[in-house]
Amino acid sequence: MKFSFFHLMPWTHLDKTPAEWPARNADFDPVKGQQLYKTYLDTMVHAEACGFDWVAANEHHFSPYSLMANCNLIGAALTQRTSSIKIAMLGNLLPILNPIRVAEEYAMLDVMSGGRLVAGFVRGIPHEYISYNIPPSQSRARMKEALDLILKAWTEPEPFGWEGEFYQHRAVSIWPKPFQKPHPRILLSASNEESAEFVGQYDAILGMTLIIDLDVVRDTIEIYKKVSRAHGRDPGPDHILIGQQTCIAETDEEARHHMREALPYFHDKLMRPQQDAQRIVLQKSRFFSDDEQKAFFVKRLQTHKSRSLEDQIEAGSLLCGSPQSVVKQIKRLRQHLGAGHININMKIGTMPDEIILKGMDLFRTQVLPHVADL
Amino acid sequence: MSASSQSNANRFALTSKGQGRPVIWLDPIRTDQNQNLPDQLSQSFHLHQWICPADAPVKIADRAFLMSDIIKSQGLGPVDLVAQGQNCLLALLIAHNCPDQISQLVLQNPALSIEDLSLDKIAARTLILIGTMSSPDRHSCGRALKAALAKSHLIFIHNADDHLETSQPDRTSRIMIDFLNRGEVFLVREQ
Repeated sequence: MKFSFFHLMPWTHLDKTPAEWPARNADFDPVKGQQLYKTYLDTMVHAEACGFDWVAANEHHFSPYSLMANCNLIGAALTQRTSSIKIAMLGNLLPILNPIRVAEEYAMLDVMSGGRLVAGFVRGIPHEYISYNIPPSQSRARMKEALDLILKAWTEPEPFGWEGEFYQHRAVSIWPKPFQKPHPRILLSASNEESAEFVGQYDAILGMTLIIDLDVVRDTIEIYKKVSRAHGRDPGPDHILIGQQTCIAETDEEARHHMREALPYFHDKLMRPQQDAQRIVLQKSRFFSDDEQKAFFVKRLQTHKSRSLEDQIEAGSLLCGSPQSVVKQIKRLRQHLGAGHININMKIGTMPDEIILKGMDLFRTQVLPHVADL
Repeated sequence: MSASSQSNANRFALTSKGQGRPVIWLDPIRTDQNQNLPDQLSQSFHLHQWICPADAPVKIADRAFLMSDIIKSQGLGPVDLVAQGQNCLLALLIAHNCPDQISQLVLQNPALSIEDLSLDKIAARTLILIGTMSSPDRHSCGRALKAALAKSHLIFIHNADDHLETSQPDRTSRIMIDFLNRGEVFLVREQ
């Protein structure tokens, strides 16, 4: 199996929950911000020494939930401080961005890293569309057109133009082109049947996060595989990535203690204001094409938050415990979902960074040796 | 007009409509063919379409020779040519035969082999349109033409297949009309 070390880069100095999204930024302290970036980058660099295959980041806007408005900047820093680990951008919020700019930045990262980029593209979560003033109802169509345009920008040898519904360009010829040929491996996220069908149309890794029911996830993966096979591909475990909030400690009790301490800040302070914004966007737009998908999205969030820590572990939503317990949990994900790739997020809310470093070392010495060859 | 030109003119009757810059739509009129795009072009240009008789030459090179002769003898040029699929070869041969008579070419989803073609003599500005869902050989052909033709633009039309005019009629007509109208300033978008 392969493992990715993911960092959300949260702001950890909130005294009270922001009243709304976007969160007011009057209390942002740039000196503390600088220290957080340094700590977080040091931790991400350390992932290489701990045996992780990828180091990963993603993109969020207008919120202390994440200080990663452009994860490509973090990726650029990582290209200069690591030597072999893949740098996974998971990913750029493609429908709200300029796809040519994304193609260029990803190509730069791939060349700067000597071909270590994993290029993730995500549709994102509903309220992010407000940040860049893009109609949420256009998200799927923009996602497809932007992705098609980027693949052309990476692979066409001659300057070309593009005439689409959302993007029109008279001349495109990016410099540099990606290091990897024909292009970096791509990853697309999916949380429901419709998005799984979309991912299956491309030669892409399927990325899934916020697991609340392993059987539902397995069904979604099957849809992806079915569509992939219809397009002449046969995706294996290496094409399935599952995101997991993770805490590894010496004992189960210690890991659960740390997780219980950290989760309230994540759910009640970092996520709370944007849940209201998401609800408003879902009510007032066609981010999801039907009510069933919308209901599934809302239920998923509510279910996850309402469960006890033990129930979340049992449901496969997160990895938490001693190295021995986490090995068992990883094996279950592999067996139940056929997933060959776990995206591990250890910086949950206010989780202390020294606990994370300890967990990373336990992963290297006591977890990875038992699961690397799965 | 020479006797042979008169004869050729009779064999390749042209129908014309609209006013403005002369454009020849090189695909012969057929009753089963979608005429929306030619009709749209005729609102902006003086559009000629030819009627293919039963005894028309089979070989593309022969047709190109006869069409070149008609363009010269009837004083149609300088003229722009619009073609699609296999008829793109016809457009290229005409542009090669009478470079001073052909100003611009529009090649839609070209289906031809550029080997053995003398493309270096073609002076016309060329727009190559390829549907993103067109077959791979059309993509290869468009790419090769873009590389070989000195003054060419390659444009991909998203979600269009081998039949641009029916799968994405608005995008196809919009880009084509803009190119035919503005030539070298085409690279700069007006809107």
